[in-house]
Amino acid sequence: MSDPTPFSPAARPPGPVPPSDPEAGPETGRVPDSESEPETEVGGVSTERLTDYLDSGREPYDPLIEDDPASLAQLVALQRLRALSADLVESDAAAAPAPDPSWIAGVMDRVRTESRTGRDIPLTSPDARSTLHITEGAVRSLVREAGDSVPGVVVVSCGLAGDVGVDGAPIRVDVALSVVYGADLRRVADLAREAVAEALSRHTELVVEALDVTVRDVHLGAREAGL
Amino acid sequence: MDDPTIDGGPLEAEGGAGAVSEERQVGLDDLALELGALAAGTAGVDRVRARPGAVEIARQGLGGLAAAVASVTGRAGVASEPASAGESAPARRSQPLVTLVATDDETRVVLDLAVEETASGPAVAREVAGRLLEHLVARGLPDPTVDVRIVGVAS
Repeated sequence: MSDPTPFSPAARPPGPVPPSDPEAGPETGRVPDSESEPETEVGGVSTERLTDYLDSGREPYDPLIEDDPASLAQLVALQRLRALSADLVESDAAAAPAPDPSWIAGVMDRVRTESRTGRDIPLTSPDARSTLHITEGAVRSLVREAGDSVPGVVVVSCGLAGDVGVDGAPIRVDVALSVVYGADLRRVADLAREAVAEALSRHTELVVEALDVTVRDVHLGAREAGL
Repeated sequence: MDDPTIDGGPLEAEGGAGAVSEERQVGLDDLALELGALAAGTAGVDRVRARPGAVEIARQGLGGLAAAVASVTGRAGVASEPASAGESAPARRSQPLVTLVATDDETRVVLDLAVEETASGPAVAREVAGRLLEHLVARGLPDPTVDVRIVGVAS
């Protein structure tokens, strides 16, 4: 774990997350590229465009962002990150410098990768005439959003390991967090795990045999987060 | 309400059985509009999206390209003023999309959904599929099947 510098965790330079990134290995549950379906619709909208769109109040309506699930997931994640950084700057300007842009860029790279459509995860249907599923990208975004909903938590990465395309196959969910400095890590991790488990239970039929939450790093702002 | 867009259309050039009658095509257009509105109006649905490559998926599901008689991606839901010649498409809010592919013997509907966070995703998908199937049967479509995929959860 690195020093609790402002938004230090990723501290990697902006740019695509390399497949060989050790943090993207089995310990974080990232699914190897070979396990994913070929992607054709990824990366259509740049982070800069998402940023500009947020700055403009999401007006005029941009269908390339709003109508594309992956782009929309990235937009929502960026919105949460920016809200968090704004809170820190407003509430503790003297104590905590502005968030490291490279950290946010690193998280956004993860979001971009994880919001890909990915595999189709089956849902049961009582009628043989209907085929129902949810995309892996939707589930990852769901996990990220649930984790981010816990005060003081930023989800750094999340992954689904296992054969999610097979109905009833047990899978493992791995979530890596950055937690606000000074917080009770065990408590925060438990809250994040509960939030993620609830979201998965509500929106999927995955058989989750393990939901591992790893506090990968910390960032400043504990008092401001009320922890 | 926008006019439906036609994917595929007459299959003479593709080696199909023949041109789709205008009457039948109009009927499919209307049906796609109805299905889009039905899906969008289901409790827990945040929005309906077109699935990339949906026509091909549906055709494959029906036994191949040659089998398809007609396909349509209907836009429904939000009434809008007719687009002026100079109006740019991105300025207008997109509308729910449902892809419908029909043969003489089968009917296939493909759509993507974003569901509301407070709803249950699987339950919403089942409800949408049930409503669409019921409507297709009521309209007398042959052997209907639907493919519903959740692509996002709206907070």
